[in-house]
Amino acid sequence: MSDNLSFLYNDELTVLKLRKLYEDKGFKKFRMSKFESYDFYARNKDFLVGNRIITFTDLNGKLMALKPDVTLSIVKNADDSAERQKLYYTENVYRESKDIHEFKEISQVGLEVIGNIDLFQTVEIITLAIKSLLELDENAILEISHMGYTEGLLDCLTNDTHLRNELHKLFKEKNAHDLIKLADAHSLPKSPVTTAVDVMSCKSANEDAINNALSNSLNSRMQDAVNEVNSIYNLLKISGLEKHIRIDFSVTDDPSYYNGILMHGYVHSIPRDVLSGGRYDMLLSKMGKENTQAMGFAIYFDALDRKLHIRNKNGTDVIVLYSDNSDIKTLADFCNKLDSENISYTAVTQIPEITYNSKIYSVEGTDVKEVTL
Amino acid sequence: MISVALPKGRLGNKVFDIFAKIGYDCDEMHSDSRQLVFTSEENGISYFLVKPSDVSIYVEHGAADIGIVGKDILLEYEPDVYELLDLNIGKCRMCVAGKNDFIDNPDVALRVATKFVNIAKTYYKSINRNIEIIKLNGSIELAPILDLSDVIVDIVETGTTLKENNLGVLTEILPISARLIANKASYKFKTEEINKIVTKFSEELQK
Repeated sequence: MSDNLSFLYNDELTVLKLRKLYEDKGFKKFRMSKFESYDFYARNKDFLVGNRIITFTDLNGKLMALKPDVTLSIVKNADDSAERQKLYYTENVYRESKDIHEFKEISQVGLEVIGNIDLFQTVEIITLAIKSLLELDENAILEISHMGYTEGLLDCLTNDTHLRNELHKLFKEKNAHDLIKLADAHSLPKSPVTTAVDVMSCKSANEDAINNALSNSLNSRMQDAVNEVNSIYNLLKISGLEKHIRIDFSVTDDPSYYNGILMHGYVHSIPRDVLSGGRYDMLLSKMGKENTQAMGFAIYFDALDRKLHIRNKNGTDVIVLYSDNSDIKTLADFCNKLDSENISYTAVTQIPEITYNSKIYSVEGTDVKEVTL
Repeated sequence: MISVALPKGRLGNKVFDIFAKIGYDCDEMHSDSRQLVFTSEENGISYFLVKPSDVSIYVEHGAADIGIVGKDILLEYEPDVYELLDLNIGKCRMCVAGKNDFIDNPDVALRVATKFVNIAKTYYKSINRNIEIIKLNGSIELAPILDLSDVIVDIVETGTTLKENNLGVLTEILPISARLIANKASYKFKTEEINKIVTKFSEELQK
């Protein structure tokens, strides 16, 4: 972006760049209201990050909520008759902060595709996720996994829901030692446990990870998952983006909402994922939109604040100092001259405490003099 | 460069000795200086010693790439980190303890004194027992003696303190040992280095 925008903070600039990235691929901006019926979120509470929602009663006595999420609203408002809808958003959501036990406002940018999600569309979304991360860090990493792999693996281990939940948690922690103990305690079959421990270890580069995952596949669900990831990976190689991909088949999420590809994006100096998303057909079927597919991702700007809330330029180019003794016409002429030369200025009667590196001019009578501090 | 948060005290010293053995020694750690961060450029590692319960905070927030922490802390605070290895050292048990003659009355809420509120709540929820939590920060064993609580939930190593105060273990909730944890983002960018440490550590522990 041009130097004329140097007054913007990097996070504001990044949002504009992301908007251009998405608009250039035909995504339309989705605008939502700040409030939704509480009932709507309460029905889909498991999908939300954190359980707490800010609620209030509106003038008609209806319980409303300050939006904790954007995806749910997009899905609810999606046009069922359209073949495919491509939407992006820049919105603030209101969520509970685990650290401070208070609500906080989180700025999010994201996109969602609802309708027919074929391989090409999946790759387009993943490509946009990588390019979004590259706007934040040229060495960013997008971790890719597939719900089908972990779910297929769990199918081989147990059908017990409680046990599956425990195994899910251990997958998320990459906690192979406790997974082995849990499997021993419940006499789970050895072969899928060995596969689970192997995929958790992340010891292979992408192509080896795909080959290992395929040779360790124990059912068609796992095989299909690996084949899909492999096809995506090969297509990403065409655009040279594969070096930003890290394939990890042990990454998983809530199976009642997600199916298919999962994504988590990481940038240097931020200790957690800044992008997350994936394929979530299950959410749509929960909301009565069976046979509709959906995939998307969100970037969390709260995590990026420290990295991005800086700007290249502070203050104005010039500070114009005037007083009762200044000739008003001389002052106006000088300011008009600065305007015509595209020089930013602020006219003040006292030198500010912080002057950054601005040049300071003083209008004394009909004279304009540069002031050195 | 990998940064490591070690718990101050016996466990931290023991773990550092293992790090030194597997090729991550740091001369600065052997000196009596008042330094807070110890770095070995040649071995690509830096250490800092923190309160054991703070290790997971340093790792979760990315101030350290990896850390060594008790399972009790992980269960209590549930930090969003990877738990890569069970070191099988620093072993102890998380237990319910009380007076030796304690008889539970299921008709009233059980008064539980503990530092580990989350662990105690989770345990009693799993057995559907109604409780009242009394959060203490130390000298937990005093609570049942002074009738502040019916039982305590705490870490038991040898059980000597309990015995000396006429208390005993009523139930063992779970075994505790030291774990090697990693920050999730650090693990993505330093996968090889962290995996190398985990492998070497694991091999050394099996010797």
